[in-house]
Amino acid sequence: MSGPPGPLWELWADEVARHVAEGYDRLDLLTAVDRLPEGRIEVVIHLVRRSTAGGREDVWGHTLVDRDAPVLDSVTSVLPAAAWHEREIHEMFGVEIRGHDDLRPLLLHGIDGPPPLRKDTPLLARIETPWPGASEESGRRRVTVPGVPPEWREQR
Amino acid sequence: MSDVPAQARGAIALDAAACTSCMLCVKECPDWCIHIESHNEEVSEPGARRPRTVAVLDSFTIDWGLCMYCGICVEVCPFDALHWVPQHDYAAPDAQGLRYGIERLEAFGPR
Amino acid sequence: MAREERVYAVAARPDVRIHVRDLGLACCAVEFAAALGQGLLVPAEDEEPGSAAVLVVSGTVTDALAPQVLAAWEALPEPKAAVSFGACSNSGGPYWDSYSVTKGVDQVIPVTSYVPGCPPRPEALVDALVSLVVPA
Repeated sequence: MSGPPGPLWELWADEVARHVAEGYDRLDLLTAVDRLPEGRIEVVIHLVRRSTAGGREDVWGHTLVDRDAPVLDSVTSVLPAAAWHEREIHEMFGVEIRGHDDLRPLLLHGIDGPPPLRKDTPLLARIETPWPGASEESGRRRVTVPGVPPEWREQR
Repeated sequence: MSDVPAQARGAIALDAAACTSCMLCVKECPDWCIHIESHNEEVSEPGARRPRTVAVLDSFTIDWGLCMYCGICVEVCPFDALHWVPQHDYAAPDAQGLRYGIERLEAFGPR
Repeated sequence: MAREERVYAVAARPDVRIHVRDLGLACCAVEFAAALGQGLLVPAEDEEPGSAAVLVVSGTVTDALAPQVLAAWEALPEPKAAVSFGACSNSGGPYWDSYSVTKGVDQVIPVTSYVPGCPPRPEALVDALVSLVVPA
């Protein structure tokens, strides 16, 4: 599994709080990746602090949550800027954020369906649209359609 | 049409005689906006023991409403059957009017 | 969503005036701005909106924003026409398979002219606008 360097921050909120207290209080990135084959969702954070020498120092942190029951502790109490990032992780990956007081949708108002950025969420347009690259000869033979893994077709 | 540089990538033209219906452009198009239909014919040649099988292009359609002008089709064609042309003034009153077949794709002009 | 509503003169056709509301939703809005920047379209400051209004949809229509696009269309007085500018507005374009994109603004409003391109160049916008208001 690739990802940011360094050990996992298993006590996620504590580790974030510790780094923020050490001066890494600028949030650059907080997002997630669906590690479907491993059954986990990886959450990644990038924090920056200005160094005394006038440059920048940064730290990457990551943790894993179970795909089937994903729960992440909110870090908004030490990093208010994380509020919308956590809202997006909730909306796009279906992760429950414990301790976040406003998990309203950011973009998917009134749009139902599984979380879009999970890798097993089908792109309906690609399943429903006949692929022009399937020639007549291929007919009933299973053709590999770009962007449509076999698992999606079996879901129909 | 307003003046634009000759190398402007306004549309993609077809040279149907060069097309062998290999379907590479169709398969590589990220928008699935190219459709080709063809059939095989046998052509007997004097002196040859067996007739040759040739692909005959029945239809070649690009949907300009979907096309994102990435040029992958132009690059991937092994027979240089597709090329850029600078025309940009082919807006249409309906979506069907943006689906160009062989005749209109060739009418964009030669390379 | 940027909204520009003005009467424009067409530099190459001084006799033509067009009342345009541009919905600058994504990259195609830059080409609309380029038409202004290059002087292909010139704001006609001293003119009141004329008898016909054109709504130019420049960019990707998302399902979340579709109601606002419809509201902008309905707010225009008759007679009016809508121009779909660019692949996203024509059909969803490169985002034809997205979970959040409306596959063409014609799912929401009636479209009179579909301008192909990704993005179309500024000259394509001007040519399409002129074709709308000047009988062929």
